[in-house]
Amino acid sequence: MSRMPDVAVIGAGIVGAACAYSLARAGLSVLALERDFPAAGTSRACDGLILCCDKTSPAELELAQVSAGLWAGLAEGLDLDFEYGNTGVIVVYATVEGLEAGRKQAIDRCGCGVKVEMLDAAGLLALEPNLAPDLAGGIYYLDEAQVDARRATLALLQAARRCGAELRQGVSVTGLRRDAGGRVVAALTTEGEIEAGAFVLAAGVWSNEIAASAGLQLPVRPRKGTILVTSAAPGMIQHPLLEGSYAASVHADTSAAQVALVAEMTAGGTLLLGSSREFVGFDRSVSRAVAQAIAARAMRYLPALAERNVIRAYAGLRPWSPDHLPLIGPVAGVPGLYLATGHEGAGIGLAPVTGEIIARWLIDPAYGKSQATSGLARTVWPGRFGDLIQDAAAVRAAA
Amino acid sequence: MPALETVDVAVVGAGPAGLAAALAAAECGLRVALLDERSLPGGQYLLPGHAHGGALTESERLGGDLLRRLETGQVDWRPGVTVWNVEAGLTLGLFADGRATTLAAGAIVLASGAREQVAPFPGWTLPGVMTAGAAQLLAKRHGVLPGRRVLVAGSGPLLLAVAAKLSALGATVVAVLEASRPAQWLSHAPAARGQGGRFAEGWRYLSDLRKARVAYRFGSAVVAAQGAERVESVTVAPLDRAGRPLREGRSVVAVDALCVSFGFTPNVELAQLAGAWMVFDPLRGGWAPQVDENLESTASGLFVAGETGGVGGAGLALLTGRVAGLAAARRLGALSQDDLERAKAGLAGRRKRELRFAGMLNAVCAPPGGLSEIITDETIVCRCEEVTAGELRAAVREAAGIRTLDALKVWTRIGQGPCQGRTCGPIAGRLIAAEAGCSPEAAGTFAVRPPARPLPLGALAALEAAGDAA
Repeated sequence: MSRMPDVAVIGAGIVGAACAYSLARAGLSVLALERDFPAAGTSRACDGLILCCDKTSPAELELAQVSAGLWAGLAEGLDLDFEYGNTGVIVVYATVEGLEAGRKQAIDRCGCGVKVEMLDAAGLLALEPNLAPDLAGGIYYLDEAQVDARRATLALLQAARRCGAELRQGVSVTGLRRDAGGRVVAALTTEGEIEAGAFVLAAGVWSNEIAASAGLQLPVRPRKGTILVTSAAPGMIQHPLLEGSYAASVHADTSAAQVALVAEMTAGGTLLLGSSREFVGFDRSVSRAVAQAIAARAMRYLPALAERNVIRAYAGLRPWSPDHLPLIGPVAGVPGLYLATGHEGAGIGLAPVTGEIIARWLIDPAYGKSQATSGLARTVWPGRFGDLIQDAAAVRAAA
Repeated sequence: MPALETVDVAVVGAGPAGLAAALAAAECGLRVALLDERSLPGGQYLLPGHAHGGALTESERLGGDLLRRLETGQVDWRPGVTVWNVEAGLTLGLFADGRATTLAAGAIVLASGAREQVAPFPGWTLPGVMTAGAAQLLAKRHGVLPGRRVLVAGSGPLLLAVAAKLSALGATVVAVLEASRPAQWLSHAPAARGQGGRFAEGWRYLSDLRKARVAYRFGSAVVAAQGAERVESVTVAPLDRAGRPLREGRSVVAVDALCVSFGFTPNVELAQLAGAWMVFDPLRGGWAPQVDENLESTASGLFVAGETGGVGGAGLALLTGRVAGLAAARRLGALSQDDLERAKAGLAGRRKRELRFAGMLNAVCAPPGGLSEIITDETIVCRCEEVTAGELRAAVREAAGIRTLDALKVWTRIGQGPCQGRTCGPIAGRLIAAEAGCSPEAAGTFAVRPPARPLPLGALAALEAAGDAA
């Protein structure tokens, strides 16, 4: 890329890849900067579920549904196969009370166009014979899907590059430079300053330190999740499974570790078993106690796994935001900077809609101003957290 | 909750190094647990049936003494235990008899040995193709032969030992193919000083093989194996000085078994789990933990002995095991610094000699870089996940910047199966190096996460861990 790009995307995880793709497809010249290699951070250490069933507000649900639709289109349109499967998801409940509460929420979601099928205990076992026989029942969400998150990242990047985007790996962005007018005009990197017409900050939990260099304080915190991988267990489950308390564990913001079962089978036949949620800073090591807790949840629901081997475990850092919604769009007072972070555990699911919203902002400055077309944009607008400029003096000094 | 089980010193691996370390620490009055996956102590080297004909080597004799001392009960010997985790706080995760437990130690000595290196070729995944070490284990332990007409190929002294054993048990050893050339060995001649015992051992094997009319050929290697259900024939080619197979002079040999091996590389996963810093050192057999003069790794309290710290054979393993065991005792205050220094000084000369010889073996026996050429795109590199060389090469080509094993794992499924890249890691590292024109060192290692060994989910769920469970 000889001339200055229209936009530089910082981070080539799933969200950065989706932004690069949408922007490049919209005709902008795009430079994606990745400090390591694609999907090297959280996008390689997660499951691949695209969920609506854990969304608790209509606005959040709409976002998820739009993105799920985009994923289905991408599965058709992108060249690299990323193991998209319209598998549906079954939410399983151990108690009658839990099942009843889950049904009420499911009925609300039906009003928003979500397709579900209620399962009693027998119906649940008919679909998933390896589940514990004493469960109360389940709810089958028919539209949910899954992807291989790493391959999906690569597929989006490959497609972006075919639209002219450039990917530079091994380039670490250490800060942002603003001009006298406060506009972000360059990224400070390990390979010198890189100028661009605009910058999209899509560095997940690592966005904060980059934003801080421009005087911004983002309300994003790392929320660690651990996944166990079993040896191939073909036929063990027919659909991805979620424990009924999963949504509650997402929305519980206590510092105590939250553990709720998520089980997903990969195309390779291995099972991914999650999930945990902990606020322990940037530590990505696998804790013995959390691994044990996940194994215990898995045993409760899938006792047939007892003799299956756990062959690996890994942990990733979800970019948590206070209202469990991502921060997507421009930042008041900081022209030239757009945020695409804070997706917590929904980064895979919400990546395509994130890319589309970012692209709309960049090609249509009036996007956010039009009430009729900007419902999604308003849901995720970073301005909902008030003034993100924490250190005005630093901002002026930088300018 | 059961009380957290603690010992003074936990030694992982009961081969020559582990035995020496455990007994040295026990001599100092410490409570020592010696753990091994196998049901018998001694490792691969001191397996029952190890004696070759009449005379024992010095290491076999010394190792035998240690085995007898183990029987006196001064060490808590625990056979059949798999170690699946090592935490930096010196707590081990154990699995035995269907149960997962933890064991806290004041010091840990890792003596978990080394594994054979292989260099893939088309057909290497056919039944009947196995590592020389696997064939040796089958023969020594169970008296089972890999086949009736066997070719032994690769590099290093293990080829001779295996060929002699198979021949003695009645197999027809078609030939022993040594990839290196005599000139490579001669260039290291000074390292051979003081190794008379080893040469005598090698000479014995050679003369046995000569009596059995087994051909021993330098500078050649297997470049392909053919067969329908299992290996039926192999293609043999002479190598040039860079280890590249030549077109001319190839031959096809009928066999029903093929044993291959290119030296060893340390088993370092447990040290990596503990967070110990790794260095790439071809003279030590590849990636090995960085250690100080007391064999302590950068993870405080974690000592490394034997092949795990650098491939060097049983003699070096006995010496480093003793040093590591004494240094662990020093850490726990059961031995004075003076006594430790005196003991180390007494072993220093032999250690230096053994290290020099080991460096030569590792340098000469490593798989020749030129052999990457024979790996066709269809050849499977990661057997667990059936990832081919073609997929790996494509990833290196397509993804500018992908130069590490860790990054390859994002592009392909390499290293994600039950063995977690133990076998394919070094192979893929050399493949990246050949494709990208960098060193295997730059390719790095796969990241290691617990469990280091497959662990049944039910056992993990019921883990009897105390201490931090609350």
